[in-house]
Amino acid sequence: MIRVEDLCYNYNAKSKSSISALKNINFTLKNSTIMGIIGKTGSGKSTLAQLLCGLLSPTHGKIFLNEKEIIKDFKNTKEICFNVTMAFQYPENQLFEKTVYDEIAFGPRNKGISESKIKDIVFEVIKFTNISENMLKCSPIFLSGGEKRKCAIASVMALKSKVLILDEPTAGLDCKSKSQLMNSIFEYHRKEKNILIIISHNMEETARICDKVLVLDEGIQLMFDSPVKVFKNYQKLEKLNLDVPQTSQIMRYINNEYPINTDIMFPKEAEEEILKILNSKGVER
Amino acid sequence: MNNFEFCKYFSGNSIVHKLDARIKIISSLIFFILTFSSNNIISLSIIAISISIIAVVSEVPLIKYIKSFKSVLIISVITAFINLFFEAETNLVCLGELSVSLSGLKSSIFLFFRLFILVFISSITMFTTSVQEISLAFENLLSPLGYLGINIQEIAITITLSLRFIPVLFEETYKIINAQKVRGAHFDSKNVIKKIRAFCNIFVPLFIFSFKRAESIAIAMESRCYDVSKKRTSLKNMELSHRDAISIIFLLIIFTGVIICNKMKIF
Ligand SMILES: Nc1ncnc2c1ncn2[C@@H]1O[C@H](COP(=O)(O)OP(=O)(O)OP(=O)(O)O)[C@@H](O)[C@H]1O
Ligand SMILES: [Mg+2]
Repeated sequence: MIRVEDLCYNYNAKSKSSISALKNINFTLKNSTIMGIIGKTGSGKSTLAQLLCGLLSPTHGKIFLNEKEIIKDFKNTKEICFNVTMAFQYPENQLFEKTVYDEIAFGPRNKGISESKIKDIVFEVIKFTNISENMLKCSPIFLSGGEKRKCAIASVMALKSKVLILDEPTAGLDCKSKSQLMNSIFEYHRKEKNILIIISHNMEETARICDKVLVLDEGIQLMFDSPVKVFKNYQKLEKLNLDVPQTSQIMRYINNEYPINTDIMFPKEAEEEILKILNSKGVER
Repeated sequence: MNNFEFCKYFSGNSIVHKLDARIKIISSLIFFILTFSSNNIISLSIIAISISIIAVVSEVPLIKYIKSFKSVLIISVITAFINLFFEAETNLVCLGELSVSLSGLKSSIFLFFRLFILVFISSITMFTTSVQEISLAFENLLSPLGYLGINIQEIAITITLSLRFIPVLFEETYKIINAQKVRGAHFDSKNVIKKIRAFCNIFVPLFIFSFKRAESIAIAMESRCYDVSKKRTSLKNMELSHRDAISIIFLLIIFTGVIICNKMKIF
């Protein structure tokens, strides 16, 4: 369980050029849930992620992981990262090992796991991220952008921490890889039953897999609720330059002309709903 | 890593800021030479005092200077410490094979202060001179080399770019460290070997990043038709003023003062 209490963070807190990046964030996440963080550029999403990992220490407020306070109740950053870890926004420039295998094994090795077990872990996570086995011997530097991304995500998955934070994991990937990667992340979560926190600008993805959505605006927590309830507030979201899933937009347009359930966010459900209405009107398939 | 204050320009409107960048660079060089040629306490204090006066006049907050001292403190201590043992004369203390002599002690204390003064001088110059001014000044100072067929523009743009990218490089280093911290790298490990290993892992991606960055900047500049061989004009022309003349006189006084003191036989 993660509990965040009254969390504030200022960059350069002591100097005059202090920037307040987060103000009074409060939320609680139960075990094995997926949380999405949305908000426009510069709203403090990445800052929040780094605070949760203990890379930044809060200016004010506290973060608890299973009743242990992050930073204070842990020995060092190493111990924190075995509990909470993250993949950074654009992680491509941060690969450093000689081969993809070593890159993925870096975390488990630091954890002190035996080589034979590490091998199992590596082969497990590359299955989740669709990395082919013969890529393991390549140098990560010469992979394509998307392959590097997968490699970076696989390497944090290999840590098997209780909380995994992914900062815009699918930004800049093509449409199919996006949904593939998202599905594999979801698979991984189902198997590990960890807490997954995903920062994303893709509302479809967020609506599809998240149990809870946190909306940030200029460092202020606007909403923290289930996706259905959050995306119902489309007027608020549109004011923040955020979209809602396209299906729910269509349902809203239809609702202007004809009463229909506007809580629907996915094409499949929308199809069923529309067919139901058509059937009730006696229209044949 | 975040408080890298060594090269950051601190905008201001003091006399030191307004001085011609060429004068500042030349005076720093002269001060460097003076610092290393000074061989007694009086000449070193003359330099230290005059530098301190310049620092006060520069209106840059003291904390900035202290931060830049902090960044070289360890190096200075180590250098001074090693220097302790390399002076063969009457010994004060013996540590097995190693022995510390009076002149060794003296020279290492001097070395320590010299390093500090060097950092002080370069900090003043960097804090009060913008990157543009520095590169323009270098271009100006090196222009005689043009007659030897060396392309000055090229050197100037190299200087500008490298100065500009120091902070970027530090930011990138910080990011890489963070990325490895979340995967359990041992930066806070007490074991020195482990620590060195961990830092080696930073340099690999950093080098790759720098080469890639350099290449993309070159391409970006070329795609906007940048041509080094063209003669360029600049927004501000460098002209010496009465302020610069006064500062040259000031410099000459210190210069002779230090030279005279060096001739004296004091500690
Ligand atoms: N290292 C830093 N130093 C100072 N200010 C920073 C730093 N990093 C971020 N900020 C500021 O904090 C605010 C929040 O930044 P953050 O990176 O958390 O935004 P974000 O929500 O992740 O944006 P994006 O969607 O573009 O990734 C921004 O206003 C930014 O200018
Ligand atoms: Mg971000």
